Amino acid sequence: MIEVGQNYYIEMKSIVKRFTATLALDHVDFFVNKGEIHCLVGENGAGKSTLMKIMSGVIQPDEGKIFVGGTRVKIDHPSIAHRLSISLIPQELNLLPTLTVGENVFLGLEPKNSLGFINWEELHRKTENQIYQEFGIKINSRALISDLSVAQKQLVMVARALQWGSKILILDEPTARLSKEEIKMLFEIVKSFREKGGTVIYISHHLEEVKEIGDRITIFRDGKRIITEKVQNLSLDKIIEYMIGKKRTTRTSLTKLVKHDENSKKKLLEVRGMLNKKVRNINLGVYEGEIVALAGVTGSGRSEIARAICGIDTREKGEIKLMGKKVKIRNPVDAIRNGIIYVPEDRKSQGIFLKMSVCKNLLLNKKTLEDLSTLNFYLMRVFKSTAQKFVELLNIVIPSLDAPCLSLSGGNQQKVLLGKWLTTNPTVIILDEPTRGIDVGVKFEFYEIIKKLAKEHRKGIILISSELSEIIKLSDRILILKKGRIVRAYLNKNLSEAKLLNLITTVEVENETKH
Amino acid sequence: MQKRKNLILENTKIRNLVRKYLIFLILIVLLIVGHLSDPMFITLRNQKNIMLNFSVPFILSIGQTMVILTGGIDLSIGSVVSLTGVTLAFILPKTGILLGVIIVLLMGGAIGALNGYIISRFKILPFLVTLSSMIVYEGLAFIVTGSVPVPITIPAFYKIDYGSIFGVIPLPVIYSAITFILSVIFLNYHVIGRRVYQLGNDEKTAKLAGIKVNRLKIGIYMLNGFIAAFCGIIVASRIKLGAPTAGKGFLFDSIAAVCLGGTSLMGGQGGVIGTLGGMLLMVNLKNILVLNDVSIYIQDAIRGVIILISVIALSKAR
Repeated sequence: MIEVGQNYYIEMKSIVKRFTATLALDHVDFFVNKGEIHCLVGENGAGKSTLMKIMSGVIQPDEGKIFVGGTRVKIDHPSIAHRLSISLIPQELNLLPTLTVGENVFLGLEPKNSLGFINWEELHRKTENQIYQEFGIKINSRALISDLSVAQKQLVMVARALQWGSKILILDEPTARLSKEEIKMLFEIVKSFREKGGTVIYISHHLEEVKEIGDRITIFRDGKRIITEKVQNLSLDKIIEYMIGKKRTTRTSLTKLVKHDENSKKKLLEVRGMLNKKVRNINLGVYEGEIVALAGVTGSGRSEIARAICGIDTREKGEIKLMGKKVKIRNPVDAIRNGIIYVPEDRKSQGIFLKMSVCKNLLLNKKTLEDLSTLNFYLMRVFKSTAQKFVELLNIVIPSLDAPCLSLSGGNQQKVLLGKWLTTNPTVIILDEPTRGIDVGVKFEFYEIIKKLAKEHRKGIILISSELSEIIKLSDRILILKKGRIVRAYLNKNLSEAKLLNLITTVEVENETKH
Repeated sequence: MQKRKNLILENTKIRNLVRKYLIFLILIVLLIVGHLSDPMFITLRNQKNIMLNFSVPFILSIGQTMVILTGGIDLSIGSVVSLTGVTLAFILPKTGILLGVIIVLLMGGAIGALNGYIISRFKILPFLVTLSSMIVYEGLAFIVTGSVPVPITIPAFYKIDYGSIFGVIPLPVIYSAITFILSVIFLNYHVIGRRVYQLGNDEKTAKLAGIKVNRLKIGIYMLNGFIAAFCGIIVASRIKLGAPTAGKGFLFDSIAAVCLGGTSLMGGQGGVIGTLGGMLLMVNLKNILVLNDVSIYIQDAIRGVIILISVIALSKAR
């Protein structure tokens, strides 16, 4: 017997996906009509990207059924999604950069004669005509992909999807790196795709975009589908409420905040007029014992600010003062020597040496080794006592200092990684997504550690996080970022998650802001 | 607005042209220097000599270019040249020229196909796979000859290398010209040639577009092995020997020419026209140094330095 779905174009029924311990998708039902722009929203980790990866065959669900056009299908490889006319356009566009527009559009389907020789004239003419007819945009089919802007590349991706006969386009955060005009162009492309009978699933953090372009919206929270509704029936506030949930809008107080008083404290870090390709005119200060959060959607320049401060990315303009003194920071080594450390998001690739002992892992960086050694001779005794201090500070559970990191639990390994950065004795610590990929229990321990570093050890901390609850719990001051600018600054008083989400998704860029 | 865009495109066009053909500018400078340093340099006899020395390494570097365009590399070509010659020396008396040549060509293709199969089937780095086969086939050539070169005593076979057209253009030059033209057409106009670029750009995307990546890799390595065997025939015909050391030195020249020609070692970018420039540069440089009586040891050092400088200049220009 063939199972037949209902009247929707795509039906995903009761989808379950587990990643080891966490339930990424909890019996999710998801329905898409033919010819609509269906928006998917939710906080990071709510499950929207996971669901789309399942739909495009990148990963497989543990349970659940999928119907396309009324027939049950099993999408266990991207090529099957391809055959079902589903195209995922990921944030990292998979184009071939050294080849021409036309060749990318016709990839795998080049017009050729019986001997296999390609008819370039026809290929380029068809590409240009097709793009002009479908989207009203003129593009040189002979231009190289690497010479195009991001928006033009997306156009090529869409054109290719059309060439492959795609009926369903999945766009994952397409506007993250686009300018206003480019977003307009993208919207035109998406809309004309819909007019030709195409179906679009649109993932975005920018709620005003969703309001502008979406027909229907599905909201996710904690791996569950909360609601599917016509976009016009939901106000922005309502969407945010669904995204966050009522229960969590009240603030949880983990540790009581110390009152923020600018005058009585030392200013540890001051950045003035910092400018480069990714961030615009950044002014910010961090005081002793203060946690400053950088909040914004993906692509708003959170990490880019940190990278520019530490000299990982070059600065075109701007000065950095540390405890009132101007310092030169041209590279990360300068930053570490001056006491600014950046603990990056991608800690795994920075590596922990699994076979080496906890002690060695903690102290393994140039500055710490120099600080602890005399004429490059190392005393094991000094090492051990220093390492012991950090083990206690971070509350790392270890059998002994000589135990290899291999024998530690994942959470404790994460702590060793953090400890490795802390042993340089920094004054300002920049934490980029400090709790990403950590299980819940350890997460709260990390919060306590971060608090302790600021409040007891008087460090200045810049916190970058996409988890709003984390920002609300930890920070004293919140800077709202948008397109590489700081657009607003708030003291973290009576700020709810909903309010914060509203701020980061809707506040417009203003000119000249001071902080 | 439209005007500005066109301007940008024009600029990138010029930039791309310079990017592609800068090696020829360097080559022209070298030729002028060569002429100034010794008037013997630009004479028919000397140029004919250069072209003779140029043809075999150039044919090899064409195959190497294709492999490198896929994002791989083939270190075994020198060994294949040696092994081909040695095999010919043994089988020619029994098989005759035509059959013998066909057998060694098939052998070269099979060696290449095996490389490609191991690379794509077991997902092992091409560098490691072909390094191993380089050692294996070189060893094999030594084993069968007992490290003593085997003479080839069939005069008709010598004509493969020694013949010429109109009495002026040596046959090897014709071979290299034909290989070059075929490879340009193949890489730019044939769908399989384009697959080489697509694969080298991004294997995953190519796969998603329905391109049979493994089959393509095996095919390209096979083609390269075939080309190496072809060169092995020419070399054997020239030295009239099956020598286990005949292929020494070709590998380095082929890779250097590809890099000088602007083909990215990461794959997906470049082409055989650049390789032509690269190999011309290498051969002319060698000739100029010889004409100027530079000691052979210093020659190598100078060659190394000039290649390094050219590569730096080229990478800056890109």
